[in-house]
Amino acid sequence: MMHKLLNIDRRIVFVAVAIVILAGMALDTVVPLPASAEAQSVFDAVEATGAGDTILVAMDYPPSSASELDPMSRAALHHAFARDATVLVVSFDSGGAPRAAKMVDAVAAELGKVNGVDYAVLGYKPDMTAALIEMGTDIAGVFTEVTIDGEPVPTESVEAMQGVANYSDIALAVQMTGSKKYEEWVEYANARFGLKLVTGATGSVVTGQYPYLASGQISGLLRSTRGASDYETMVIDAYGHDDSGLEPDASKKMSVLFMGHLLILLFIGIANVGHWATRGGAKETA
Amino acid sequence: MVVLMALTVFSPRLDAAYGSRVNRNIQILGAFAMLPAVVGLVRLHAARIARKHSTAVFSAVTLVALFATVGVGLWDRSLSGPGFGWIYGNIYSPLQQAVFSFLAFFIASAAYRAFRARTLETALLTVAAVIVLLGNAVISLPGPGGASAEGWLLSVPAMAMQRGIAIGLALGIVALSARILMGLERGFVGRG
Repeated sequence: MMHKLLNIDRRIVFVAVAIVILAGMALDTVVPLPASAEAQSVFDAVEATGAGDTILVAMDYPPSSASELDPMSRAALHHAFARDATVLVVSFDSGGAPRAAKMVDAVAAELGKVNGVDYAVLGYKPDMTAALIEMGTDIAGVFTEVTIDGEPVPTESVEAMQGVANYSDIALAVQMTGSKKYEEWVEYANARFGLKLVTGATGSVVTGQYPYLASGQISGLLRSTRGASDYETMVIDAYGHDDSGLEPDASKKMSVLFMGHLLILLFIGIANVGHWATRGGAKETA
Repeated sequence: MVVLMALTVFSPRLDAAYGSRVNRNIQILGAFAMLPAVVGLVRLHAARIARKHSTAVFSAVTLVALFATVGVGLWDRSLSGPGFGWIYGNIYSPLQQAVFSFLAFFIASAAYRAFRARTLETALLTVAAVIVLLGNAVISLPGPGGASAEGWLLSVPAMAMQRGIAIGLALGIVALSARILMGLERGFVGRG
């Protein structure tokens, strides 16, 4: 009997995961959680900006990371607009740039913000390192055109870019990624030009950001769906649904995550009970 | 160009004189690097189709997808055009998300098989994994100094390990870059 605990067919694991995820989605509940200190720092950094300040939102991720990172981006955009900040959006991921533009247009439309006036979508540029360094001198020189009402116009002529020449005119950058792209933001935009930076990351890359958080090069960190849930809850609590226009998204995903994590813990428990009950006897699957 | 870019980091005078020009030239070179990449991809898959390789069908799908996407993008003349937007929203984006979502199933299966306390090391790994899993879900266990246990694991032991890796990587990159610039390392152009 105990031997069977060690060799559960992977198809049974897959079916159990599917059932639990569907059950979590069906629950559709918001799980109340205490905010992590790292997420609180992100909220505080955006909160410290004033009306008319410029916030740069970098959505450097492809659609595969959207489930974890879209809620962070959406919350950051709602929060920045609620602070009456001017928002500039970039994406150094060729697969993520159209998604970034679509999201900021949708959020802005909800809140009555005007493209070119309250925000500008700078878009995508290849060779992130050279672009990030050049942005320290001349942002409009890197992103020479933006699209307003379907027409390309010179970036420097856009109202949202008035008074914004380089990083020194940007109060805060909020960068989301599921890869190592945060390193280039830290190394060039922060270390070389002193841009204040907060980040959001998928669970797979978040551990790499802790050294920069400890050194102060990153001022706040959103850790995967949990971080997104913490942040959007703080924005909604501070500004309400009406003023922020933000609906809980990551907070609802937490119920799915919670049940999925419990299932994984259950399987880890089963494997270890089986292992200790049959030590030296059963042949285990690797 | 690479040497000039490196020098601009250390010399404010060179940076002021050439920094912008160097950065823009590197961006242009980066964009043109797409061309040999596309040519290489087309040659590789065209050869597989011509030889009726066992993966010829997938090669054909790759080439059709490549030319269709480029063609529609050129027709739209914009990343936000209707044709390109349709491909992005209805094919590229759902496919990427679907493939990534398989991870949930594989991670559950891998956790079941890997996190078994067979030795002291695997026991430590299993305990750390359970604490972080619990903390990321809902239940944060108390850790040293008033922090949560998963927060302490991430910001102390894991961070120390990440710093070690980062320093090792940086030293390795410096050494490899120096070897490439001096012509001692030619493996990247197919020579030993």
